[in-house]
Amino acid sequence: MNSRNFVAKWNLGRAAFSVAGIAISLAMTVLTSACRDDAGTPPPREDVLEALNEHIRAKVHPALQGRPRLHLVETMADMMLVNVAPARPGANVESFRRVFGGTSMSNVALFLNDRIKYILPQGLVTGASAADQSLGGGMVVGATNVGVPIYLQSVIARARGMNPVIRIRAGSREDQIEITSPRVGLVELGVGFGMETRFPVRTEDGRTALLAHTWVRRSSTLVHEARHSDCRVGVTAAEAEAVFRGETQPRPDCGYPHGTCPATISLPDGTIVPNSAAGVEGACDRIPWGSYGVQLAYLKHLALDGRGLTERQRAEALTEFADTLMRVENGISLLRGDFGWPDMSSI
Amino acid sequence: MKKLLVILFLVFVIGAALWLRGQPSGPSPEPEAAQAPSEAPESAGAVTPKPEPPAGEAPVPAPDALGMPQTAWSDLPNQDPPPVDDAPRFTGALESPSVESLREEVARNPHGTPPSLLLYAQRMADRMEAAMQTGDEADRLFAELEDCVRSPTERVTIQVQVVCYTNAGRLSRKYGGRFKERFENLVASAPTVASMVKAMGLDEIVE
Repeated sequence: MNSRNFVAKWNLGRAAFSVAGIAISLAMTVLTSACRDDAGTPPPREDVLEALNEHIRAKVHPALQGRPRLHLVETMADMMLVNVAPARPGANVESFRRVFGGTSMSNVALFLNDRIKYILPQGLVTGASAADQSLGGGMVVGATNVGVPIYLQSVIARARGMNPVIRIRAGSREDQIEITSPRVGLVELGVGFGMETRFPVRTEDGRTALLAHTWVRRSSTLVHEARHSDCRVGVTAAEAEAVFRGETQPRPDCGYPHGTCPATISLPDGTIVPNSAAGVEGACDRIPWGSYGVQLAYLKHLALDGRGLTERQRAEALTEFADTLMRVENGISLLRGDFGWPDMSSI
Repeated sequence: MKKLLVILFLVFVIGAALWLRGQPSGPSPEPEAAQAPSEAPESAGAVTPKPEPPAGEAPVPAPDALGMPQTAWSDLPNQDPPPVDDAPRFTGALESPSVESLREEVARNPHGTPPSLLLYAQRMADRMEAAMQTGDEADRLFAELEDCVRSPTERVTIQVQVVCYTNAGRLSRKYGGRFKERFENLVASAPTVASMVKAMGLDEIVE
């Protein structure tokens, strides 16, 4: 090859490289302008989380899919179709009225809206997966309210001059939620919220039957979790740090954490009933009108005054009512107001 | 030509710089103040055994700790489980869960109603549905409810007996004289259960 040919090919090569450079530059310019928003700023919450329905204002994370989402939507819809007011003549529904601010399911919706703001799939905040059952024994979680523990951490963060924002990551998406109160209302739904379970049944044809929770159980679970969002009095950073170091117990009226179940249940007429949950830790209210107490008021009114319930729904309400009574010391007296009415306020 | 090459080179450099700027940044300087604490927050778990995988060809899991065989989803003909109220109704004899099994379930998952209790309630509901429609079914069920209420509390928990007693009362009110005397005898023979049902207001259920 002579030098002239070489120079010609060299120039051709440089020209080709330049054209490629132009093409690459243009491509990068286009791509970066399209991606810049995702990488630079988090998308607005309204674009990411949708409101559940016209009655319940909780935002549902798009990663919540499948059966938990299906049952959540059904639960909210079915709940609003049930009529519990007016109650039976002479019925005492004061406990329901005191907890929910009224005697209808619309009042329950308002109660939930004040306390459950975001519904997420299990593990998005806690990091717990379906395979990681912190409760042990292979049981699955139905729902978990993580709002108050996160609020306590935000108190510490503020005291240290940090910005108390929780970042929730799901795949390539990240949402930011500023923690300003314990009623940030972050509730994770576990697979237990959406699943049905098989149990053996000795039917004539030997088939297995399906234990399917109805909206009654799921709605009472949400009522229970919602109460965990309430924190009556503010917490200092020092108090919060002491809790996380394990030096003190959380205040019983901040998040209403659970305690150990009593050995017996006392009825107003003096009858003493043995408690099948006696001594079980974390299965009962620690103080009056905790999560189980609030749930008890809900289930009582539903069981006694719910109109149009199917037999299965009524059976579930009755059973849940009876079982929840085991988790509230002097539950009947509590519902009558013998220990005062609940303080439903929160900071 | 040289100037053109220089310009193109600069365009390339600027394009590369823009592309690098558009890449996600590293860890934020703001500490994430709100990750989950090590202490798990309270939860109200739906107490159900570990789920089997929904795949059509999943193997049948071994029985769980309570000895409950868990069938695979593939048992159902290729479809999702039917809505609750369309599921096959239970027609067999009621067997209440034992006190020991309920305590074990509560100990395993303290936060939710034991699943065996809910299953019993569901079976009871199916039987009640039939009993509220035909007298023969009501006769059969009422006898079982009597046994339930009269069982010692060491064998049958009060929650179960409350449901049995309440439904016995409903059948008694539904069928008038058919069960009146037997229900009155039941009330007399189970004062603790009767007291609890009355305290809960369950003797006033409106159909």
